[in-house]
Amino acid sequence: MNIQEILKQFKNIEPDASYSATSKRAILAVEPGATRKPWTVRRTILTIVETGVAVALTVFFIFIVLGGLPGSELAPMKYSAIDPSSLHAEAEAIDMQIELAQLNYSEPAAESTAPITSVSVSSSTAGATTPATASLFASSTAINGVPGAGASSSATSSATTTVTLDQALQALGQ
Amino acid sequence: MNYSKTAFIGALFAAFFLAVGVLAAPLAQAQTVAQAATPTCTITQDDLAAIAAAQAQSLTAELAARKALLTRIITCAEENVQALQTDLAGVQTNAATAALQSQLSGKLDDAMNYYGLEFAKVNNAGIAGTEGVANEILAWRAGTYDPLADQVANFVLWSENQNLFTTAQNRLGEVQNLVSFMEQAAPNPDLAQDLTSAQSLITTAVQENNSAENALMQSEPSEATLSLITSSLQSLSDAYQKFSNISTIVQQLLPAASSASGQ
Repeated sequence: MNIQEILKQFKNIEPDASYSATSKRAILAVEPGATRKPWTVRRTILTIVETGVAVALTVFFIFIVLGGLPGSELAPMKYSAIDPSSLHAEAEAIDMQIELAQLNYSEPAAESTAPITSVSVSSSTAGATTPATASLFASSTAINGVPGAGASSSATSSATTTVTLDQALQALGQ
Repeated sequence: MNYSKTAFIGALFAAFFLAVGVLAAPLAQAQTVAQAATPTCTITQDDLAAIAAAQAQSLTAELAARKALLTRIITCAEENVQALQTDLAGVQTNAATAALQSQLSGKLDDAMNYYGLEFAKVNNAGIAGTEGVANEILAWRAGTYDPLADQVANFVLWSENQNLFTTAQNRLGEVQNLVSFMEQAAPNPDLAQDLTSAQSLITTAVQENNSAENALMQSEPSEATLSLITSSLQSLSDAYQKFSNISTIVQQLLPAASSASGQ
């Protein structure tokens, strides 16, 4: 008998009729979903814990890959911590803020101590000027050193001198 | 027929350009007026001299010159308040400082209202009236506005510094890790000393920064608050000097680090 004939005989193999019937009955007797295990609190907690551990591990490995947790010894070594250019940039930003703070110091001081050096019209040309006003508006000596100089000459010399709002208010109030 | 169609289209174009011209002219004029109405806030000796010159002419001229300068001063003062308000609004706050920001903003609104009231007084004032308004504003600025402006400036400055403190603390953490790693491999007294100094300076800076915050919250004198702010920044700057020393030492110990530090 050659191998082909043996293989052909395999087609005739079939189970025992009584065993086949028993198996069929057993399979048909099982209800759908009966293989699922019943719900329990313990099983639910275990599922949550398993999921949580999986998520935590994933996050942990992502942190490690992306550069580690700050302050942790698990973090990879960062030589960028001593990068001179970034250190310099951060130090410069601090110095700028220090300069701003010093400006805040100097602004009020400059405003309060700056003398009112105005002005243009001498008392002789002021006409109806009141004495108090004349004292403010009529001392050209501070600017051009020529007492009693006319309005036009002193106005030219004082063109670039600015006054603060408080100084201008002080002048207007007298 | 063709002639009338061409004439009609021509008339339409003419009407369009006429309308544009009619509408644009007042607009351009309004812009010119608006530009002219915006006063320059650089007040010079010449502006004061103009009043003195007007005094020599007549009382009417003097009054007009005084009113013009006074309204200009008030408008400029209002612009200063608005600038402070803008700076204040741009500050990033946390739960603790948001209340102070709101409080300061309210006070700046009060300042705007005050200037508005004084501006209204100028219209009906005589020469003595303008003197009175000027003196009122001067006294109010010295007693109320200047301390408020200083407080706002300090608050803005302090708020802008907070990012620098966060960055410095992060930097300290990274440098600590690096130095402790290197110390395990090969102890270096200079490295350890600079790190200790940097830690100490940053601790001091943070304490001074917290004190400055408390001073702002309790509306302490501006000079004291500004002094704390400046000290905290100076401590932070000194800490960066130590970081720089550490950087130099590490690069001497590990030449490869100098190429890797850019990463």
